[in-house]
Amino acid sequence: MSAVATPTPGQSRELCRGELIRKVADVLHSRHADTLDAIVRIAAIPRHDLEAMFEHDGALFVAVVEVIADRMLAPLAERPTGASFQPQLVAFARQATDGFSGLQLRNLYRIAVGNEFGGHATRAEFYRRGPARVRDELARFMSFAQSQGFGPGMDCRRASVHFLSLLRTYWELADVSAAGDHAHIHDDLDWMVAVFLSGIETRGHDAYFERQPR
Amino acid sequence: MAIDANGSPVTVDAATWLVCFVPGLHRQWWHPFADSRHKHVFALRPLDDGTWLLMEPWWTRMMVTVLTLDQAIKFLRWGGMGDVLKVRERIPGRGSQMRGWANCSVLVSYMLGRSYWTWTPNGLYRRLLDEPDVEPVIVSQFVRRHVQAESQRHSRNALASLPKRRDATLRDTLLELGTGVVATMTSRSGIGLHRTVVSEVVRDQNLADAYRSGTADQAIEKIRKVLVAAKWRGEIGIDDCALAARRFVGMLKGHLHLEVALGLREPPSHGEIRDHVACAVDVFLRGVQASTPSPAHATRRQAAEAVDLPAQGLIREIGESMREIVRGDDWDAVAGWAQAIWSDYVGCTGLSWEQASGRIRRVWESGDDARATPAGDAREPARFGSCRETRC
Repeated sequence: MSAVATPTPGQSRELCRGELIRKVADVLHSRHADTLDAIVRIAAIPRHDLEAMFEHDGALFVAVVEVIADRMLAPLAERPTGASFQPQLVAFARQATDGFSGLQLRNLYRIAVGNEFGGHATRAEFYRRGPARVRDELARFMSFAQSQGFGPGMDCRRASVHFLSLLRTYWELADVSAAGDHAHIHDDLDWMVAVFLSGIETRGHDAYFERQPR
Repeated sequence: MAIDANGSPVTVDAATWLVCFVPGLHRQWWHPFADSRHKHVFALRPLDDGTWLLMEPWWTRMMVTVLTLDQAIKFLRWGGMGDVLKVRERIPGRGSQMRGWANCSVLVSYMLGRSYWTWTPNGLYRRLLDEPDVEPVIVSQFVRRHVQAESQRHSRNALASLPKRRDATLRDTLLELGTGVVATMTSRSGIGLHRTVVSEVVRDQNLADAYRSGTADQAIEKIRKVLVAAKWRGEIGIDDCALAARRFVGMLKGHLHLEVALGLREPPSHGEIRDHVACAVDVFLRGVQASTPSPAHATRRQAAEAVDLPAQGLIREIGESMREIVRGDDWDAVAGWAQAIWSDYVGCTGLSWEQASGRIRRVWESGDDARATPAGDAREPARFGSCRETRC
């Protein structure tokens, strides 16, 4: 019989923080989650819990964007091979543009741009741990592929910025409707990734396509 | 020094202000003695460059400052909690510095050049409302119209940079257009407009349409036409030029727009924009020049390839596209779509409408001749987009 480990105060705090982050990330998917106050209210998070776990509301949302970034980056966790490079990029693109992520990111962006986070430092932290981190991890993924002879034929950071910009066109920021026609988006994504890989002059890309059934 | 009739070194036209009579944001001891909706008054007006001028009397100072559109909209929303009047200031005006107690209503009245003997916001509201040329403003409608007008203004600025040379390459054209679009969207007023729409669209969904109908849609449409022309010249191999134009405009934003929108940096310099756009154009062009049809379009493409006659091919292509876009019984949409196709053809060839009309008729007639030609009769088909006069 195994003994159940009692969490230490530090672990317990981390668990509580994780629970609040998860609740907010879930609520962000809602179409009505358009302000900080609305999200905290829909998630039924008591104000004193929030204040006990985070310095301010903005800090909670910085933690949330980090969790969303982790989820988006999951398909890039494995180092790419010549055969897996493009499928991993397609999987990443799907993860970043599915309805769930689309609504989460759209609502988070609206809150961040609407200055609800407060100070410059919080917005900078939000950017650093969200969009900038995704860009840098994607660039690192491409850079590894490049070092193996099948990556982009251009600066990987720039290629990563262009790819993320392309993906952002799949969720219109100035729109409050639900994310678009996802069957159509997924049909289009494979092709869009292929066009993008041609655009960044991916070495080995042509050979990959010659192996694929059309 | 030369002075005008009012003793001023410069003559300035009277401006129109939005005067906002509002409830308080914080409870004050004197609020119970004032009108329930009109406890404070301030004024603001748009400037030519997309920013706004705010004049708000505080207890402790006169706040006169320039706001971005998104900041101004917050004041207007506050105004919407009370009443907003559109009032033209008077020059030289009839106010007096001898009015005494300089509370918010007295100072706003003085700024407008009025001589009303009233010391309350509600008193000023009633006096102004009695003036024949003063109009009440419905804030939500005003904001929507203003966003649309600003968006159209940005669109004109962004698209003014289309090269006029007929021999401009596709890369030159996209580079110029892209630079104009990015410069506009990352400008202070462009970011203000973007923030306004992103923040306000939850209150008014029509704002998104008003915004998109300007810069974004017009830039996408302009780029779509450029791509259609390039496709007809055989320079690129994409099926859906509208979708490609949308993706291209998305690529233009990069992280520059995101960083400026989050207030993390100043708008980029012209050189920085040019460098970013040149890279985006190169990636885009290499991609679309090497692209094969998307699976979603493969079936349609196969059907089109079976047709060797240009007029038939064009008509079939137009017909198939039209079926996707418009309903057969929606004649306004059909007419609009036909006009767009016609306009594309004129834009591509550089011909006048009459010349284009004659050319389409000749190709149509040659298609009839070709249909009568026995199979195997080798003949170079006339192609749309390979006009010898224009090299288009």
